[in-house]
Amino acid sequence: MTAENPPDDERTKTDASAGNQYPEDVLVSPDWVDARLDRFASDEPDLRLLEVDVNTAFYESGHVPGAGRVDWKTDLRSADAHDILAPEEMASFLGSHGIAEETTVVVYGDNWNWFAAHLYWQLTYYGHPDVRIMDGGREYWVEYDYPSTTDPVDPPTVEYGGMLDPPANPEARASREDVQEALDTRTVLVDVRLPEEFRGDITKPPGIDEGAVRGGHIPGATNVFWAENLRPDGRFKPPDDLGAVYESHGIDPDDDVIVYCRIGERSSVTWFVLEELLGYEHVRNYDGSWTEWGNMIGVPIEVGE
Amino acid sequence: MYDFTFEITYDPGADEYVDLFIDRESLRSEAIYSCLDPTELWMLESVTGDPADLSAVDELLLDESVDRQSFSARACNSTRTTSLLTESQRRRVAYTYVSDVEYCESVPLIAATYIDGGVLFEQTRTDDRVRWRVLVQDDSKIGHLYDTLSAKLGEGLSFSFEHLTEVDHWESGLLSRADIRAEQRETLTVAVERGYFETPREVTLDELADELELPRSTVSYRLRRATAELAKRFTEQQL
Repeated sequence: MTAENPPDDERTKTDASAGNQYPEDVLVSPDWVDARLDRFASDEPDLRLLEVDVNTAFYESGHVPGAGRVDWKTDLRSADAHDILAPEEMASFLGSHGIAEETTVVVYGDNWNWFAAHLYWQLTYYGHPDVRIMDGGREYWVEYDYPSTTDPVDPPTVEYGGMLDPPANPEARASREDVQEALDTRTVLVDVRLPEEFRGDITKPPGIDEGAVRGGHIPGATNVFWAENLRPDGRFKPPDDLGAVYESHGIDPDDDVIVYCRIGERSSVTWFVLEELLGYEHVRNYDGSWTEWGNMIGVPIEVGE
Repeated sequence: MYDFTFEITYDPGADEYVDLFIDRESLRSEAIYSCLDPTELWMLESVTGDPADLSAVDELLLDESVDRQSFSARACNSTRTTSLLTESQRRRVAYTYVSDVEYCESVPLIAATYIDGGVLFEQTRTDDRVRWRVLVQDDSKIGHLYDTLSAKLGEGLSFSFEHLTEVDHWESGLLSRADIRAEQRETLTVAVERGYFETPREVTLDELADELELPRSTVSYRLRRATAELAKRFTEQQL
């Protein structure tokens, strides 16, 4: 592959992560985390770090010191309701990781923070006051030789006293009814899946059980692959480049935007980019996504480009 | 055993090594890779083609600074050594060992982060396409692999999933494909597809010549050369 990056020997850990051009209250650099490892590991609940991987086996092979393990399949979904966590389940999840309402929560994970972004989105929806993503996620941390450990992490449980019911930011989430109402309106639907998923060539990625009976996309949706948000090393693109991705698709900061993917996790990355990094005004994540829409009876779909 | 097969298509200029194959249609590369953990891998690559085209390959194939592994916009951070094992008029075989991997966006190394215990890889390059066949004992991590590979593609590359199936038959020759000329291969392929080698023949030489828009004598010559070469190589392999 013809490399576009500077030669590797010119890159250092510090150079590589000093360039966080986004507000630190939503996105922190690996160096920022590295400088606070003792506080993440402390019994005091002011800072907590959580690793959420798509491939849940990664955590056991080594994680950031002090980072708690989150299993998205069991911890971030309400199995009986087939939904995101209910308010009381979220409170109990947070308390069990030593997180109180005043805790600064930093999340990171594999696949460039797919499920970390999903947890970020859930916490924002419910209104936890301070949650941040670590730029570059797990891969960047490992590849640039930041410290890791296999030591277990088990902070003291706390009682989460924050008010999560009703959700503080319901406008972060779109339901299927919201999407149906948005059809044939000025609302911009952004499908962040691969082009071959968008076109309907495949109904779900290979080796995945959870999918839809039909392939294609929601009528009128624009396909902006989620990985277009990232640089080759996995960190978010700088503001100008990131803004250009969406401008080139004619999506403007004052548009009403609904993002979706297959199960609402990749779209959480794009939701985070538009809502938190680029400051778009109205961005909702349709977490039912294609597994819901593609399986629903009587709703229209489109196939092809 | 499962077979996960996909293809990556390269725009001209996206990758200097693939450009060679785009510019020279006689070239074809087949490689096998082995990788047991994400810090090292080895590959055995066989490139066949016309002598003039192959000499263009030599420079890049043996230049250890050329990154034939990464498919992202980020070059591998690793150590690479290559040695030439076969150098004949129409074929090169090179062995490459990649070690001390800090990061390297290559299919085998990424697969090794997800799948323990080793995976077998077969890769074919022709024209602007690189086709990968990944053989794994179970398919539980293929979804992760698919998501990760497709997301890391560099500018000018596109990903196309072909199939994920349980392997119940074997047609691959891995590195044993005969190195016949491109025009002979094309003639032979059409002849086989049209039933020229069936008994009785389903197509005549004249009909093949019409289809290929070539003189009958040329088609006849190419078929004889191709079958002669294949017969000789086949016999050699039995020895």
